[in-house]
Amino acid sequence: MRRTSYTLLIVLLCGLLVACSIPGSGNTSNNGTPTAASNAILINIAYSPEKEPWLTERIATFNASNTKVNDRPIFVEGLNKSSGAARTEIKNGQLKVTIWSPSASTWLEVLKQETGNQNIAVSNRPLVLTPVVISMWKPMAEAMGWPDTPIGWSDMLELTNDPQGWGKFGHPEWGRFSWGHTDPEISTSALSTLIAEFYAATGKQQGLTVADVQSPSSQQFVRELGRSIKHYGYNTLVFSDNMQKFGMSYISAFPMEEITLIDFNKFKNPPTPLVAIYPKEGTFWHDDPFIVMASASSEEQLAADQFFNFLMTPESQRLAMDYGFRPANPDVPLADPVSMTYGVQPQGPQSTLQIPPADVIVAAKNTWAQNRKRADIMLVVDVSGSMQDDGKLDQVKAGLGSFLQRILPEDRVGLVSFSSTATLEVAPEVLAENRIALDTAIQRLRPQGKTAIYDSLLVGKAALDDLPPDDEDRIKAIVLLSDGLENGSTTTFEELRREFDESGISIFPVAYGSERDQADAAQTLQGIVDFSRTILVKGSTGNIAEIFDNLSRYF
Amino acid sequence: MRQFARYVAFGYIALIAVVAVLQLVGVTEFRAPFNVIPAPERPPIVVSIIYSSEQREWLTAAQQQFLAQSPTLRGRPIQIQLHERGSLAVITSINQLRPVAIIPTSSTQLNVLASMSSVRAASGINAPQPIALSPLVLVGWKERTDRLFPNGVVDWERLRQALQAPNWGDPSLGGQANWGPVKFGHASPRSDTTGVDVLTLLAYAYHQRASGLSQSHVDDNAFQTWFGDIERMVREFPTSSDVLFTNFLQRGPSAYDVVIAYENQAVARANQAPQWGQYQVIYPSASTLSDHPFVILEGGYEITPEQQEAARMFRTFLLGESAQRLALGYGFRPANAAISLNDPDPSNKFPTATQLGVKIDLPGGVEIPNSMVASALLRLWGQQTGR
Repeated sequence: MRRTSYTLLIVLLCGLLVACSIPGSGNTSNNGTPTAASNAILINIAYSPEKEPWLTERIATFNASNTKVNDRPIFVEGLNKSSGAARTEIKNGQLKVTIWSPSASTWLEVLKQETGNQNIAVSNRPLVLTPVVISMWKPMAEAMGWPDTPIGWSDMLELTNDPQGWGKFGHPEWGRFSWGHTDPEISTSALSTLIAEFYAATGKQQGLTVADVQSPSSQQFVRELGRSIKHYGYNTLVFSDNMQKFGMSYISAFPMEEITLIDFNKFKNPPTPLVAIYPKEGTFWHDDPFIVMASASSEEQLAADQFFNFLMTPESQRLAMDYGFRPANPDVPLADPVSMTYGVQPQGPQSTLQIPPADVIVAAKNTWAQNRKRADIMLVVDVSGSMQDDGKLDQVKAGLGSFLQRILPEDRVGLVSFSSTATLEVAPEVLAENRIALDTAIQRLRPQGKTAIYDSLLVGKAALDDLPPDDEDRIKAIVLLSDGLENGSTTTFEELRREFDESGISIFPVAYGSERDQADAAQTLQGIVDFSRTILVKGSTGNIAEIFDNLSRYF
Repeated sequence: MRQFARYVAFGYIALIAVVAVLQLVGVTEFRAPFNVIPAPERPPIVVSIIYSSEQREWLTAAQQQFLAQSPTLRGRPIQIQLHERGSLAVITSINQLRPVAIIPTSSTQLNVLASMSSVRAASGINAPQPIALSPLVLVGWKERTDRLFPNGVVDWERLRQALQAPNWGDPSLGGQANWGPVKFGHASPRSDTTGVDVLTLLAYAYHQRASGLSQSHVDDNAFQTWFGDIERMVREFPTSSDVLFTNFLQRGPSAYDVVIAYENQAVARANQAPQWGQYQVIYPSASTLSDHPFVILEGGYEITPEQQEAARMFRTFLLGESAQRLALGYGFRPANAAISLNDPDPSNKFPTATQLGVKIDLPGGVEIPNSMVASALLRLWGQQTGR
């Protein structure tokens, strides 16, 4: 009895002490990643794509740090979204975020202008910095005098207009000078580049006005420069991928953020490196701003400030620099990869351009469509039997309608359909005159038969070849959509490749349908992408409209 | 009973043994599994203070030192709560934050406080006292300032002419054309005292005087043209000198050749952003001096005598040798005459700051214009810049 009493007493005391010493349990999921506590202050940040690798790691680290405001832990959720798309969705009320971090503050000015709300944000502070540069293959830049000779847009214009092309610098084997341009509605670099072109056209570095943008001489300068644009594209990363894949013959130069150039040289292992030309007429700094939206509650704003302070620590800034950003924290000295080893000069640009008022930015953006090269486009559409499954063809018809909405009236557009054979449904003609015929033919498309992709491409090419020549250089392209393997053509792949070689026609294939359909179609289409030096796009019935919208930005 | 006593004794021994074992295996924290009612403490005296953003680093470091001493007032712990605002917002934020004290950039801002209907600066032993000093200066990249101000003194007319040149390649400047045009920056006079002060300095410089600025001076047509020649060439007006100076360091001479700043910003941040080379501090022949007054408040809302006394204790600490030496490390000139700019404290940045062009002797001062003239200058600025 006595022993039992003692034992019971000891057990009770031990139990009491162990209960007192158990620490509070944290909030982690089964795989160890932090999850939001039930009382967490949830904040979210939409950021532009080039910040993805830096911010995904920083967000995870910050969440694990259990930083608190008013005794409540802060939990950050990140969303990768291009600057232009985010601005559109915020404007339309489709996207509500605590923090928005586009590539540059320019987008905030555009948003303020377009919403009429000057107080849409409570703070705007740079997170990291990167200037806009003209990236050029090192041998080509050296031929122009880099790094000792200042080079700029006027030099590119001179080279555009020189019939010798690179022969002027002793390299006729490089052909004519060419470059690429993305859509300023979507890409920050494209918007900054376009504004820089207008500045160069006027000889100014500040005080750009709407009148300057709309002046005939400025429009002429931008149009002439555009004559050497060989490829348009959806965004910068697509160009970076293609430059890595196809090298110097793809294009000579491409405006991009310095961080994209560093990423290219450091991580893509190119046979020929790119170097940064800081345009002598001036350029822009992209400040990757941390914008706290006015719609955030006061507690969310405090939480956002804590997250900002974390991102500005020397450790966070050095990690950003590893990816090629320049630190916004002046306490962090510049180091590799912001160096000549990776094609950039630490002292960066010599002069920057004044960010124009929002109305000038909008005016520049609005002239983009007017000044881009006109296009000759054949839509080549699969109407094989399998296209009747899951409403695929109906969705394509709707997507084609959206595509045609974005094409300029002066572009020449035609339609080829294919199943077991290829049929020229509508010969290419200026869209202003051809729209009704195209709409009617699209609606009449009916699915049946096999998949003669190669034959259809030849029919499309023939239609483009039959077009009368124009005074101005035009983009020639075929948009090809298919949901399956080639199984019906009399033309072989080799014959097709020989026909398109040196034709100047770019083929943009879309592998369409379910994942299985896309995989099947890709087996045929990838070979076409390789000789055409474009990209393979994959789309389903759920996103085909978006696919066509994006494709329209290639023209 | 004896048995019970044995149980209790044995229980204590067992308790000690278990604690010892748990501590040996690393469990050192214990809490009660039930709510424990703590012994009653004396409530703290909370002293909230609004300060101006350029004081941030010094003030937060000084606050930490002060609180590390566990200051108390008649047994009650003192808590210092700091609230940062832009220099002009320090006073306009009083009604929102209801502080016990404020530390604006300059005593000249107390005119605005005096115009407020209720809360006011206390007097007597609580009267405002300067705690640190810093003159207004120009800061520019040496390669540029050597060409802009070869005599080492701010020449406002020279700046005006330089701003009209198409680019640095102009023969009058002797720089390189690809440096672009001369880029001068200062903070907005609507939100920052440096912005307000530079307008005053421009007016005095044009009229070649250091006092007695009047409405007629501002209304002078030739002055307005001259003033506009400078202000219209400023590309942007950040909300604070802190933001401006950070932009200056982040982007280098591509964005700014020369900016208006406080001397303490230039001294404190001299080692930042070395990739652009060294910057230089250039003094106007006559300038303004920020004296960062510690202003204890009264009236308007409840501020207890204990809070005022606790605020005085913090003020005394800030004026003490330790905090004043700390201020030297952040580029401020000490308000305590016992501390010199040549103080041997290793954190003192002034001895090496002479390489930046920092001078021991202060430039001459200008008389701060009355509120009517100040408002007229601000109106003129708005008209000329469209801001």
